[in-house]
Amino acid sequence: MNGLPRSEALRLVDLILKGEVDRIAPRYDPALGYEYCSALEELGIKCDDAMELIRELVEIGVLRKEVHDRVASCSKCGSEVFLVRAKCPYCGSLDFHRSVAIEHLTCSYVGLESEFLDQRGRLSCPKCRRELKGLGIDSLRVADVYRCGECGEVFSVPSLTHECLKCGYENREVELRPKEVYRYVVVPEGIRREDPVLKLHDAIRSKAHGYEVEGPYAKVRGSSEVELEFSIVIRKPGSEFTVIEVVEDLDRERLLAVFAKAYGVSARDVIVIHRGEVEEAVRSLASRLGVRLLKLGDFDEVAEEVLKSLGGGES
Amino acid sequence: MKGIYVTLSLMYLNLILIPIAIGGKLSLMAFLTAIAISSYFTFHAMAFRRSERPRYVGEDFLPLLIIGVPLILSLIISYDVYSIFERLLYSLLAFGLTMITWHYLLLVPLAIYYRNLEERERKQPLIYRPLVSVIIPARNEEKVIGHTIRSVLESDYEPKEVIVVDDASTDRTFEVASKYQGPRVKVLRKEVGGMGKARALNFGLRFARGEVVVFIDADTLITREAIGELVRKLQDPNVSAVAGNVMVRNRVNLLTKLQAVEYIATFHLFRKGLSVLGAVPIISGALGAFRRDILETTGFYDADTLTEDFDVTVKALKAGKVVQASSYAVAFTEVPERLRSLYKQRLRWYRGAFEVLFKHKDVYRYSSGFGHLKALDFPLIIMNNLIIPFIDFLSIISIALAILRGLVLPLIVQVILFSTLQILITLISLQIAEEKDVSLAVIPLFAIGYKQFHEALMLKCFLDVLHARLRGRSFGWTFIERKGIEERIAQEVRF
Repeated sequence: MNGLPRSEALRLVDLILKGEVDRIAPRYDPALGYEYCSALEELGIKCDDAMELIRELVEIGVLRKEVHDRVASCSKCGSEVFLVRAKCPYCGSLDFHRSVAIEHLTCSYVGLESEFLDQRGRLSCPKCRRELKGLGIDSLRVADVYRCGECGEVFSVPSLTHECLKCGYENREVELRPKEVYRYVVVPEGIRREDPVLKLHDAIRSKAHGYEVEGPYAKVRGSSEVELEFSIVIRKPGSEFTVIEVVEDLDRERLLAVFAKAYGVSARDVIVIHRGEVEEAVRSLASRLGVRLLKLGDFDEVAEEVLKSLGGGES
Repeated sequence: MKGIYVTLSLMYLNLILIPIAIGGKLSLMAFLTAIAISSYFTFHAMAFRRSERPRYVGEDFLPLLIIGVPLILSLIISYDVYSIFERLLYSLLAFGLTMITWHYLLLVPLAIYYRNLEERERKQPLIYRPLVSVIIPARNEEKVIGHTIRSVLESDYEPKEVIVVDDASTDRTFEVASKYQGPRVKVLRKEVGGMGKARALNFGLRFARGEVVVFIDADTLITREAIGELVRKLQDPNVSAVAGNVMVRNRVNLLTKLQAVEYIATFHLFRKGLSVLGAVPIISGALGAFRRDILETTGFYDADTLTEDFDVTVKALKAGKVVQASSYAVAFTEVPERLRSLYKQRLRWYRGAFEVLFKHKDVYRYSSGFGHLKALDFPLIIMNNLIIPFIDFLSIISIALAILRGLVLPLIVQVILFSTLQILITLISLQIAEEKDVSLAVIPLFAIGYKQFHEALMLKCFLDVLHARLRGRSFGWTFIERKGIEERIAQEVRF
């Protein structure tokens, strides 16, 4: 997740983990074609390089790609934004005009509208010389036919060319290439597999007899009536409880933030489980604040440590 | 060639044996009258070979003479038959024998003659090379249209343009055909359609630029040389239209194999024989060519019959034009594989044929001057589609009478002779067509069974059309002006 600012990437992951996002679907922009940024921005995520993050999440199995659409794309650059142009299928000229073919139903003569126009300005059949009573009565408009002003050919449907608005190449219909556009769907099993909070929650729950284990991502109402979120909350019978926060890296600010949150909800114990290394100064600060630190390793072992520490141990 | 003459000799022998086996004055009279009529036409065939507006000797009375004289003679000669019913029955049977005999005595030798003529013609270089517009009308033919277009594009004839008319298909016909759109293929869509092939053909014709127009059905594949061979016939400035040689492509079961035999033994023989006179009355919609000016002067296709191909050919013949068939312009078409589909197809064909005969009733007018059409084509079609089926029906009564009287042996001899005649004619047709892919085992079934099925159907269709006419209705696409387009109805009158 190098391309995307870390905070944006985490926010997206956070939203996925909380279940607030179950899919990321592209939107069609007439100027750009299919893109994902507007969908992400709607979630409050700045989109500098969303595709890189999405790709990584697909790789680790959190997202699964599904075909959202299959569009024609430019044979040169792959863009799907075109200007469609109608041309004569024979010479490629833009100079063609439409005529209406009329069938005189009583004698089955077929001709262009102009052929039926007699010198008096009325419509009469060139074959049987009878005057036409009107379209839909004794005659029928059977087709629209185009005639090219340059080559003189007639055709029913002009050929369409697709000028790519990105690279300017004019694709003939046969040159266009099909391109798949994907949407990305959250895989619940993938999150469970990858999210340490979930795994730890499951491990503690299986071992913590006599405790109520809340979470993952449990919310606790603080003294200021604001709900604060912790990775896991373990309640002892009665009202005392311990909050656990799982973090990737732990620095001074993060530690203070966790402590402040725990203080806000009057937690009896605070445990921070970290994946990365912790500086000695931070470790010492934690000690002074009464925050227990545990290093994330084997989930069962960490769970046992957590339960042990509820009795007053330290990592 | 030797094989053809051997079969021809056997056919003559068979024809001679029939009156001998039947015996009596009636059969002798029938045989002699048949020789007289076929000689008359053979003489004219040689005299009028490919000439426009021929005038037959006694043309104005000819239909009456061909049909009336044998019938009256039969009635006179059978004066000594005691029962009126039997007298009438035997007279009609003798009349039928006359018809069958002169029909084959005329057409089989003419077809052989035409085969040799075509062989010689084929050696001449193709100098006349007009622009040919190939029109393919298609309605819901997504499965086959691509193959048909490709077969036309692969044709060795140039210059040509292909016009595919999508007759308001509801499937992907237009989409499939559009893949071939380009300098040589126009794909035009009729947004309102399904009102008969004639209208789709007229639509295509409106945009055709060729001096010659070739029509191909959307389910038909043509050989590489087919278009060139059609044009070869038009090298003769007297010839205005040419029928292709339509063969059955899907010989997959007994029914389609029988149809394959029918196409050769009936349609081809008929077309080849009449080609000598330039009087082919039906250019099949599956493959045929017209000079465009003929279509223009005769008012293109009419949509008022079910068989627009027969109608348009009759109009060309009425205009005094020479119409021939080409044996080398080969097309392969798909025929119905199930009896029900065949029944529906033939209902359309036979009803259409009678409608055309009714529509062009002016041909029978005294001094109409329609030459071949009046003297030969229409009488032959009436004979094949009405008289012979009727006589065959009567022959069943005569067989029943013979059995009741214990005349079993003569009856067996006669049945064998008539069946052998049919088999020999089928065989000679296959030899003329140089057709080797037909299973000979189906020929007896074609002569006994298949033919009778069609004859019964022809009689039914005649009655259907007669009934419809009496009620002022038609089976074709008609349009009732006063009520507007909602009344555009296919008058599929149900009986």
